[in-house]
Amino acid sequence: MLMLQPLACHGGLETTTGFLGTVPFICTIENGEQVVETSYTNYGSLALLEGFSTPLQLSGNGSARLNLVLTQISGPTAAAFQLFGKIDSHNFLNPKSGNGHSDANTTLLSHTPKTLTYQLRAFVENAYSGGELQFQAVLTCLDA
Amino acid sequence: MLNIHAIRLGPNFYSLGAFLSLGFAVQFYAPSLVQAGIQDTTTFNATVPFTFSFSGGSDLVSMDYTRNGSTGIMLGTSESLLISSNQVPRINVSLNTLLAPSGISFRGIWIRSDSTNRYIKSKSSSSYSNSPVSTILQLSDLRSNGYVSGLPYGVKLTVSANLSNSFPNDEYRFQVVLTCLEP
Repeated sequence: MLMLQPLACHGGLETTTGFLGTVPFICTIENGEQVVETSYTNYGSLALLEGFSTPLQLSGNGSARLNLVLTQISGPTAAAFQLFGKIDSHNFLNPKSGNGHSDANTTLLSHTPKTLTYQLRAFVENAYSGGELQFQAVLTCLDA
Repeated sequence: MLNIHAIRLGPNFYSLGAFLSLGFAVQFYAPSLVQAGIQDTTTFNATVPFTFSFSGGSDLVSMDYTRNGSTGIMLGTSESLLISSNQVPRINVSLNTLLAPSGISFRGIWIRSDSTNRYIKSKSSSSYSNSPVSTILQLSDLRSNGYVSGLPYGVKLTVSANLSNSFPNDEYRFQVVLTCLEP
């Protein structure tokens, strides 16, 4: 007598699907789009233009390389200008003529925001009375 | 028995002999009364087996990462995986954590029906343990979500994991194994 015995689960018994996730580098800069009006102080032939930004919020998930570039984008060329970038009240970034108006530093960012505040100082000749000068600070956050 | 001998001489006195012998045997089998083994029965007994197959789906799903406050969420969904069978099956679903550089506070597997666009079943764990998380899709789970025997049935697999501490470039790997079980 010939018996045909059925087998269970013919064909594909099992299938496997892989899931792969990589944690990306995250850096967020909030409140970075600002237009800051500067104050004016007369020092004879020169004048000091000075302005303070409101705090920017930096957060992320790891070690971040911050690069800050300061550029004069319009108006008569300032005799000297620099920017102080302060994180939690400590001078951290200082682009100025001595470093080509660019400065970088590494900091650890977490989900708890760090506060970054800019202070611009520019000396201009008083002869430019009435002329408008514009400076731009660009902050870049990279994976360190 | 009959024997025939034939000799033929050619003109060159070349002789050739041939011998031909034919034999006849006539035998008669006299019918005898019922003896053993005059009938044989072969039985073919076949049963339609339970057949099952998987097709389609994804070999590797790339998961997205979203930061959620102090934690991060990894989430990925596969392409449609087609299930075909001649009976409503049961399917074991197992989520295995293969690589986790940092602790995972929550992980889970969700199985969604293409036809109803509803989750058939899910299983999750809030344990930091990387032990497998398993569940079984029962007949009733599949029937109530439109499974019909003989027709391909599509499901999508979603894996989600909450990472309590995650660092850039950390890699997390999971594996979902579906195993066919008889009804």
